[in-house]
Amino acid sequence: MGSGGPPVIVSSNAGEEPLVPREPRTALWAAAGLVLAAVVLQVSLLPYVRVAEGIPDVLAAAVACIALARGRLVGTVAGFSGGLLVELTAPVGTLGMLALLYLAAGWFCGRWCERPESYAVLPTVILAVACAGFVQLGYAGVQVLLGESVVAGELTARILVPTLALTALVTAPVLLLVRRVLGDPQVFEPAARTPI
Amino acid sequence: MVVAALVVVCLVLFSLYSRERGDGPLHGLQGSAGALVAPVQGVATKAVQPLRDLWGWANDLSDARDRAARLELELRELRSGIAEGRFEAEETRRINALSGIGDRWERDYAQVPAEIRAWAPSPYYHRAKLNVGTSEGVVRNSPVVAAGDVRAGLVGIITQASSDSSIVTFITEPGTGIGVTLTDADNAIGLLQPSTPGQMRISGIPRQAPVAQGQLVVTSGASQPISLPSPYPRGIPVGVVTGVGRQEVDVHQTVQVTPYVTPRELAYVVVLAPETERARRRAEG
Repeated sequence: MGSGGPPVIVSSNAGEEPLVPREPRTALWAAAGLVLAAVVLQVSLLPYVRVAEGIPDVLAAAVACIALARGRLVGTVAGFSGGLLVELTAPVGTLGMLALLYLAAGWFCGRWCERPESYAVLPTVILAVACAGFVQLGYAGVQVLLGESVVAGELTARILVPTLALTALVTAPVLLLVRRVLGDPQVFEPAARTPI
Repeated sequence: MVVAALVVVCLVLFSLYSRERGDGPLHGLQGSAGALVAPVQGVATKAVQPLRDLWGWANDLSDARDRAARLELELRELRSGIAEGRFEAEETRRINALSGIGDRWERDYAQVPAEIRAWAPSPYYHRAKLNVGTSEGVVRNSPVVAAGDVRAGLVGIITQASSDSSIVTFITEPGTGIGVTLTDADNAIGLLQPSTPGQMRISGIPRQAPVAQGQLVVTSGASQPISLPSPYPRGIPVGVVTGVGRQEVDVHQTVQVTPYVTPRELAYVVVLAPETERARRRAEG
């Protein structure tokens, strides 16, 4: 996540003036719409798009991109609401655990909002993949806590690696959509404007 | 402050949900929320259907190129056809001998077609939400079958049912155990459990039982190893034997089974809703 090289600017009007961030209230509704769309895709379409046992985690990508665009508070709320929505609409057998995992992912990614990394594609993809990996490992941890056996080799080869690869593939279009809808990165919460 | 509050909410929810029974308030809330978003999920499912079809078509195209796999499939079909014929004959003989006290599941259950509305978005959970519920006669412990490449077979069981939706837990979910029998192997009975992805394993079959590749595996109607009534009636096809492992020192043999149906590829299933008193008792355990 270093800032050594010049970042690749992702902007729908590259070469011109940067996108103007939307009004806070509009942006929040737009972010909510993006989370909802990601949840619907996650529970209806994406389970069919699988390699081995891996499924792309578009919700992790959406939460990471939204957090990078609007900071920790919005990222946290997006992660919490997205995770909770999945738990309420899909048969996962938990309540609060996914919300907590995505919340942590959103909070973590929000730290990079307005920093050079938040304008670039590669760091965003890396963060989204890290979020997806974190959620998958969290899931595995819950399974172990609930008494199920999780074989590390199988987890890595059949679930983790395909999931992360597929998530990396879907992150770029998600990032483009988020930037189109929300505009350039701008931290919403005043507290996050202080140096991290 | 907001973050801390949300974290606390998550932990409280998780803790309460884990401790309460299946009919507790949080499970009820989950069911209500599910019913609330069911129409949205229905529309979303229809909207993404072309994309699912496209993905399925791409997979089919890839499969079509694999001629060897197709031939193997045909061979398996022929073998299972033979095995099924033997099973049918055995069942007919048994039913005739018992003068009408047969336990064929077709008589006891109504077949309720259902559409899969939502999947568990994680490979750890082999579950899906269906668009049918108690209003269609679906109850907890209703068996679920579906059409596979070769033939229809058992895919799971209803583990939660509300008025207009239900949750099916597939037989591939870790921890699942189904009592099965192999009629071509002297009616040997054992416990079928998921092993590697796409494969299952029967344990508890005596080493001397004449198990061979291609034999049909059907539900036995009893839980193994303690022979209590099972929610699955006798005679539902599950899969076909694809491997047998015997060791001199072991009193049992390990039988590898390929299920007829791969749950993750399904869009539609059929729920067997109990219609007779016997089937209802079976579902109630």
